Amino acid sequence: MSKPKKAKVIPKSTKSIGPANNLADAYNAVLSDLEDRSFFDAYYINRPDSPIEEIKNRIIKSRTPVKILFAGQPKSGKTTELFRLRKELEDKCFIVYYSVYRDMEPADLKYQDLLLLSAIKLSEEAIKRNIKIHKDVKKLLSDWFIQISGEVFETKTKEKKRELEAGINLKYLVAKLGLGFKTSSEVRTEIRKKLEPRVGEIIENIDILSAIVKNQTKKEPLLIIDDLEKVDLEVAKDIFFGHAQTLGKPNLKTIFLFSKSMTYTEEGRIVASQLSKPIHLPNVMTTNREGRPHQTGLKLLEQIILKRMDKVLFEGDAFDYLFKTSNGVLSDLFSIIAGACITAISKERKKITWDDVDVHFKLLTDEFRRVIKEEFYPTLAQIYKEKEAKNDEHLSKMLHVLAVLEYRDEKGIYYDVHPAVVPLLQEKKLIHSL
Amino acid sequence: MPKKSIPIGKSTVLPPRKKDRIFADTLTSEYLQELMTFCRVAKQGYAICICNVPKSREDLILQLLERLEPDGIGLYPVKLQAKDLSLGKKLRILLGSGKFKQFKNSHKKVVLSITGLDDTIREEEKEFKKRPVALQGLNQQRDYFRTLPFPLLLWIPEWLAGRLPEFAPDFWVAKSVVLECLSAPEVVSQSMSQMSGAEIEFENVDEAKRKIRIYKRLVEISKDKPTKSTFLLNLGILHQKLGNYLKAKELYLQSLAIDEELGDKSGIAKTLHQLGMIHHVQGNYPEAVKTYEQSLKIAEELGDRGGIATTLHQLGNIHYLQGNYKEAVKKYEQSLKIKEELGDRSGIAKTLHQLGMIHHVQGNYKEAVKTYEQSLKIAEELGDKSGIAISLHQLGMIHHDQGNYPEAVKTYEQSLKIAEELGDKSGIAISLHQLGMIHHDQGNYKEAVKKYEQSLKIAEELGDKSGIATTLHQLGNIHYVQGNYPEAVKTYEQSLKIAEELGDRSGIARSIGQLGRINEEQKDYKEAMRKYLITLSILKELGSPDAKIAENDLIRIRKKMGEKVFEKAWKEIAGKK
Repeated sequence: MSKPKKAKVIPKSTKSIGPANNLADAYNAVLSDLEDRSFFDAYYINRPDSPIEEIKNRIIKSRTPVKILFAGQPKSGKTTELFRLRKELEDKCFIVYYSVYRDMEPADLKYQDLLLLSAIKLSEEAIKRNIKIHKDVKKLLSDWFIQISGEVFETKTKEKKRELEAGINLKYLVAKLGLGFKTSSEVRTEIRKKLEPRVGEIIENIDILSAIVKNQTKKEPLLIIDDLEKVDLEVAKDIFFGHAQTLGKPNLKTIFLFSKSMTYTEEGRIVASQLSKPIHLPNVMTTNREGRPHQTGLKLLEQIILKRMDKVLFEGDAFDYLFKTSNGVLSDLFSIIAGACITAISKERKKITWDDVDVHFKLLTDEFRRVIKEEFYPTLAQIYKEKEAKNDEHLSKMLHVLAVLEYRDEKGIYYDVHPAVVPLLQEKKLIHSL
Repeated sequence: MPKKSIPIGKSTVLPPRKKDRIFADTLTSEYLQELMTFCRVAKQGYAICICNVPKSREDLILQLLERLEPDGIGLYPVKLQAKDLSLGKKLRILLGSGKFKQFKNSHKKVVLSITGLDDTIREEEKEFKKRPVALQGLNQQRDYFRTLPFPLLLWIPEWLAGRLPEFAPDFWVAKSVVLECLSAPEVVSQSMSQMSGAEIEFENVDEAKRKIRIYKRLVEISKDKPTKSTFLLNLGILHQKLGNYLKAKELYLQSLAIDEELGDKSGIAKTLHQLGMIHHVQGNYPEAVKTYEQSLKIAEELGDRGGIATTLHQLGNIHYLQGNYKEAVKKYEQSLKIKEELGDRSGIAKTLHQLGMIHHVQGNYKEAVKTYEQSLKIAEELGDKSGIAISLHQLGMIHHDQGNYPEAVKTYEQSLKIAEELGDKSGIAISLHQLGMIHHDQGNYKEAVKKYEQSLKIAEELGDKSGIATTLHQLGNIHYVQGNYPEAVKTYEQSLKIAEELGDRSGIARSIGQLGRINEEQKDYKEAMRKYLITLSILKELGSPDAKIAENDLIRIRKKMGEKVFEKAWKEIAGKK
């Protein structure tokens, strides 16, 4: 039997990190991973526009196993906001977090996979945190997993086989099943075949585990399925549409990451009506509907940057230029700063100039040039002029590649094109040059 | 009715001076510097290095390796083979190997330099996989690459940079930085094949703008004067091709100042030639001739035959525009002879085209078609889009002249499309003008005015006086046929004024002739007759087929005036003369 291990929680930070005072540190600071606790503590700024408080309240206060659809455009900071949520709820909830990208094959994903993976991850987490599961329950679960996995993989040693039959080595079984599921398409097909008529049983097992966890830890189990918004629209439709009610059945509070493009489809609206209305993380607004600067958003971006690096590292109007380059798409903003750091250091300068920012802004424009299809341009020009968009397939695709950004103000939703796309519209004479 | 022809050769560009080595070195060193900075500064994460030419990439990697080693930074090359579908798997095996561990222990810091991803993807795409497994793998394992305890350089060509955001979007987003090492190798490989001037050629506006950006950066960073002067000249040429004449002129003057300071005669000749072209397109003919002749003189001193031929061609163009066809033919033939000796096909096409235009304006349609088609054939062989557009345009004009409107519209539109692709504003203006004329000829005045005004607007933007004069004249014609005489007179006079400034005799003749028609309609026969006489004398000198029209005008007016009055007026006018 394996030795009990200490529960793994997000490590607490010890050292404190201040804003960088040279370009080399600034480079690493803007690219640092906020899922690392020490960086999170050093750099995270509470976003006034974030719906995390609302999500937290719904999770804590709800008496039913609420299901939340969390939506936002790519690069808008969802994973970071979720990290904050995990951090703030770790005392109240027993959190099981997984990413369909890290733990699954996202191009080949079905709704029953999500249920099975949730059961697997919940078991793994329970074992990891040393939750005592009664022998009989363990046996029950093991038997079920063995039935599902069947002859799909052979247990190599007799000893392991005995352990399995005795329901002792649930951990091994779960790990093996998870790995097989991730890496082999034959395993997936085989298992799905067996799962199809037994979806109800998975849900039962999840409920059993979830009840055990709740009983022992006195914490509310919470499942977070990350990166689910990144799967192809067709795959996402296939997962949610027609299966929303099944996905909503387990007695376990769950946050599904939900694709913004999906909220633009009829299927998406039906799913939302069955699970819950999606909660959106908006893009940070730097200009308002009329194109005038939006002070709250600008202030927020400034804070975000200045947490990571000192303002003296920018020369003249370079800092102000930055805000015009990304309209609040944080990761574009960071990659422009990172690039500008490299260029400035290469030229043996200690500060970032307007030109350094401009070089990398133009590289971003080149990225869009390669990605945007010719037929999208007229629509983009129209959105640029009117800040409104017709809800169609073009819009959903342009939102996905971030050529179009969605914002919300008191009047509701409006749109704008990414600032790095604007030069392309000018080149094509679809809008006047400034 | 006057028609607008495209004098070809306006965009004739001299091949850039041969300073490839310095040129390439300047750029390469800048990229190298950025790559080194990344390797020194980054703790982890991957840089996407976009580079198209394997040879240049290998050079960069080699230099990088040599320069980082003294700092204790080890560059560890990883080459993916076509069969390696998973970069993640390859790295896991590599990182576990004793060889790598040893390498790591002997360096303060390790950077992985990964090449060959494009081979893997290409291999897969051969099998028509829409979504290559290798790219899916990158997408899934982005966190693994991002969080490895050392930085990665991932070398890819530009075509793959276009695929990644689509097929591995999360991998693309998670990159640390993009280092574009694009232009250096491209420029190097092109300068190998020099003389074609490939670095200042472009397929479309996007490409032109990209090149402008690269040259702008090159000008900023070049410390060495001769190199800077070449960059300034090339940047100017690119601006000129996009119709930014003022900007181009400014850059040429900067380049010229450096050449003069250095006493670089060949540089001076080339820059003067370009400056002459700017005067030329802006209709400042005396200044253009002066500048061309300065350039020609230096080229002759240097025995630069190519330069002589090109400048002769340009001088021919100015004579042509001023209606001195005989003089023009002389220059063109001199130019053609040298180009044939040099085997300069593209130059031959351009000069043949001009000779075709002279046949054309003189009404020798058969001869003109023959010459245009020779020119078109060479342009097609050379894939010279701009040349194709211009020849098509002229052939369109012949259909037009012969009243074959549908064929003419078709040919003009083909030409317009190419001009738009190339961002050739001047070409666009001219094609619009011609399309306006077809509507005009068919009595669709509203549509005609629309096209003329579009064309006029562009000509004004370009400061193209000759274009402005021609289009104004056409607008005057529409006022005229609609009986709006005061407006017509006003417009003709505007056009006449510009033609006089330009010394454009055929333009002067056409405006005076039309003003005469209005005098005739208003029964001021004597004045009309005077104007027709002026027109006739100019057109005869030019050898223009339109002289016939002026003769008919005079015959008609004689009838209207009566023999006696006409004779009296004739004497008066002739006496005055």
